[in-house]
Amino acid sequence: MSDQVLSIDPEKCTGCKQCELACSWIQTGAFQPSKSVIRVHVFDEQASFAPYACFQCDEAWCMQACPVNAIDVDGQTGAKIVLDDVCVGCKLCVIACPFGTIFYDKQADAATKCDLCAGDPACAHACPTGAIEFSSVDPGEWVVDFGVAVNDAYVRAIEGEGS
Amino acid sequence: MADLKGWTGNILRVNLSAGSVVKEPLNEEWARQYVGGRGVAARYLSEEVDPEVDPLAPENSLIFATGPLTGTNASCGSRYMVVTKGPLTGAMTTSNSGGMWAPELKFAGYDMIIFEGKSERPVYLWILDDEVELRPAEHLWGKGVFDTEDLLKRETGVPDCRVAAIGPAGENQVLFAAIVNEKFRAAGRSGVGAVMGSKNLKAIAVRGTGAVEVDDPVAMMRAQWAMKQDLTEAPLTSEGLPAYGTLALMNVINEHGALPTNNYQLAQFENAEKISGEELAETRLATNKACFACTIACGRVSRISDEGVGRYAVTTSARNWKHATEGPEYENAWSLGADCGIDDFDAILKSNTLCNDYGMDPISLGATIAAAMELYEKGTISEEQTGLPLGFGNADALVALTEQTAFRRGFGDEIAEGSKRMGEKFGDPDVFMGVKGQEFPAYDPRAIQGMGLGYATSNRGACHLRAYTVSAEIVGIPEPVDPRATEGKAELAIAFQNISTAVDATGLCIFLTFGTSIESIRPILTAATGAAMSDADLVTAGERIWNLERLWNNRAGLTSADDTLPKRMLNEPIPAGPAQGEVNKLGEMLPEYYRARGWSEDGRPLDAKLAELGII
Amino acid sequence: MPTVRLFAGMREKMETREIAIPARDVRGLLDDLALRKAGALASVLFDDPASEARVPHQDLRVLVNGRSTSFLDGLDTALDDDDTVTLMLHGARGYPGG
Repeated sequence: MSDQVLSIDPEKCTGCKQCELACSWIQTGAFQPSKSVIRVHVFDEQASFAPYACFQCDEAWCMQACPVNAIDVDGQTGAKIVLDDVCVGCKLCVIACPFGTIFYDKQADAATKCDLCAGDPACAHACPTGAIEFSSVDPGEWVVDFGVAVNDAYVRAIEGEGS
Repeated sequence: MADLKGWTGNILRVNLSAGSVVKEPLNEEWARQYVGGRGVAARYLSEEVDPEVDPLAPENSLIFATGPLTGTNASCGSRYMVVTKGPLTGAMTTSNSGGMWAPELKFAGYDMIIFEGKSERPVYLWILDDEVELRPAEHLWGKGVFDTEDLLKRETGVPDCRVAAIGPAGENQVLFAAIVNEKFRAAGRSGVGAVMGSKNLKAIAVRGTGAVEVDDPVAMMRAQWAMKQDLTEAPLTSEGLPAYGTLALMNVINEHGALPTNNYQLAQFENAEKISGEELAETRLATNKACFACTIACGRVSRISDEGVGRYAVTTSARNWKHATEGPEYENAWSLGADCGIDDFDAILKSNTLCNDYGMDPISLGATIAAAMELYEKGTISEEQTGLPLGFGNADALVALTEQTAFRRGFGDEIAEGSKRMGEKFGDPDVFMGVKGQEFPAYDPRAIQGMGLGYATSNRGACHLRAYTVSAEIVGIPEPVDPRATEGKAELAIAFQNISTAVDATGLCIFLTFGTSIESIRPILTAATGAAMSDADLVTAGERIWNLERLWNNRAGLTSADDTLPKRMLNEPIPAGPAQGEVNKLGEMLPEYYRARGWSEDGRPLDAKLAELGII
Repeated sequence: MPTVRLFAGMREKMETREIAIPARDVRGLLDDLALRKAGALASVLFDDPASEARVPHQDLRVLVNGRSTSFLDGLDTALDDDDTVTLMLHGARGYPGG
């Protein structure tokens, strides 16, 4: 199975939505951001743009929540994919996902999410600034560093309080 | 519109007097002939509105028009054009804006909106796909653009909707009032906001979930990919604009001795560096920001400096805790800065932010305040009349007058009329620096000859975007042309006018032309619409639109006498700097311009030209 | 000696806003600059820094006292001690039209 993941760097994002256009185009052949399963959230006041899409998490809560086993794992890419003919449109997955990256499509009456375009994500191609890349990274590293840093801060705070 | 893609095929006709909304098919023949946006809207306006109408009367129409590439993935396909008879100029005006509003209108299923008549009470138009209705807006009247947007998102319960609105300036019919979408993108020039205010129309809020379909999706992808490569390779669009924004021009134009200062009395500003793009990037820039589908991202998200916050704090929403704002663009930093002799960057940012909130064109505002400052320093007007000391360089006066103008309070009521009318009222019409009632932007036409011709012949009054010959005369794109020479400038201005008009009509952004060309844009258009067209056809469409606008303006009473420059530009040499001693030699260029355009000696399109272009 | 004023990308590359260079003409001035900051700078001053031909980079614009050398004598434009030279990359970081 591929070790490539969608890596997103919000610092590089300018909020142009080329990713949303590419995503909808791959799915429908037309330009329709409302169908996109990668979305850019714009925090104007904080001068920040945040693209978000499915993390393809190992412990996929959407998959666990699904009552009809309509979410499967793609053997090639590791992407969690929605089996359209099995999905009954109950939205339990949408409620279960802690990141808000699986969506309900009203017209199809089914769940819809990022399937990594079978290993060649259109959003990464379309991004003009390199904010979205499909690359081999160890997603664990920064999480571990972050966890250690937070832990250290706690320890320091508690020790400081104690003395 | 089964045959033509890129378009949704529907337009909305809103009669504000009757309170009715009708969905009708877009005129396909016109869409083919006039490409889109600016062109198609001009065609509708010339069919439906009497050129002699009072711009602020119910009989004038206000058209919001997208292009066939708006809402597609074509780089910079974010634009819409507001087309109406402008109150500042009395000419057909075309005022352009980017951001996210126009694509949202396309996704809702509409190419254009035509507003007719006048509502009895303040209203806003609500569009959620097929749901379109006029709603009461009494509770929004008097509110700024920022509050209006936040309130509409809350009351509609659709936070993803996009809002284009007027502020107090539009309501009070300030003659250079703007229409502002997403708080910081504006159809800024020529007073389109005053027309909207005259119709009691406060805002248009739109959310669309539909699709924009193109004729050949694969060809579209290929052509867009090629154009994106152009933009990535061209230094201006890949590095210059993202890094410094349009404000990079401040130092450049100053070095050439073409930076109008103190109401065009000087052509260099000694403190240009303090209000430059370099200064912004070093001290106040938070990040750069893109419009829809834009691969350049020249927008500036900026902050008032720590020292400036005490005097010039800004608020753009209840959640804004970092004093974040946007801008300024070069033209605005010039008008509110150098033209008024002001070098306080925070005051400029404050005034610029107020212009967005109140819905005003900062170019005309700053230029009119600069003209008032000249009157004040000459002793033509006194502090008794102005209510505040109005010498050049007074930053507090700038901020105070920005506020007063939007509400037509105190001396702001004079500023609100623009510098032509203000100068005439105080007996000094020569203080007006502009053309056809609209103030100049930021390039001294005595130092850059082609800009003088471009200003004089622009259909919407003095404007830099209608014939940006600075590109050739200063930047050297596509190739260096001597700014002091007059020879060949007629052809240069015409080429820029036709190409810019064509790009406007597609729904793309004019800044594309710094990194790519018609040869790259045309294949995208063809792939989107499916209508066969050569590169030359597209440029000819630009010429067709230009002539149609001109024809309408002639009928509105504008003549060759209006294609002129202020006495100062023609007779008073630049007093110092690199272009010392220069005046604009319009008389050497204008007759050749008319000839090359195929117009009569008094500037009217001849029948042969109209027939050639297929204009009725 | 002539004063060179730098903006935008040129300022970043030279890490200064202004510098005095002893040169009698524009060619000499560019050569001197290229020596001071070899590498990154030379490659934006000249099309091919290694070549003897010394062809200025297509993105480079040189002003002498506010006048483009395209309309003076190009690289042969003479310089006096009190002249001001402005170097701008209308390419590799420099421009727009807003």
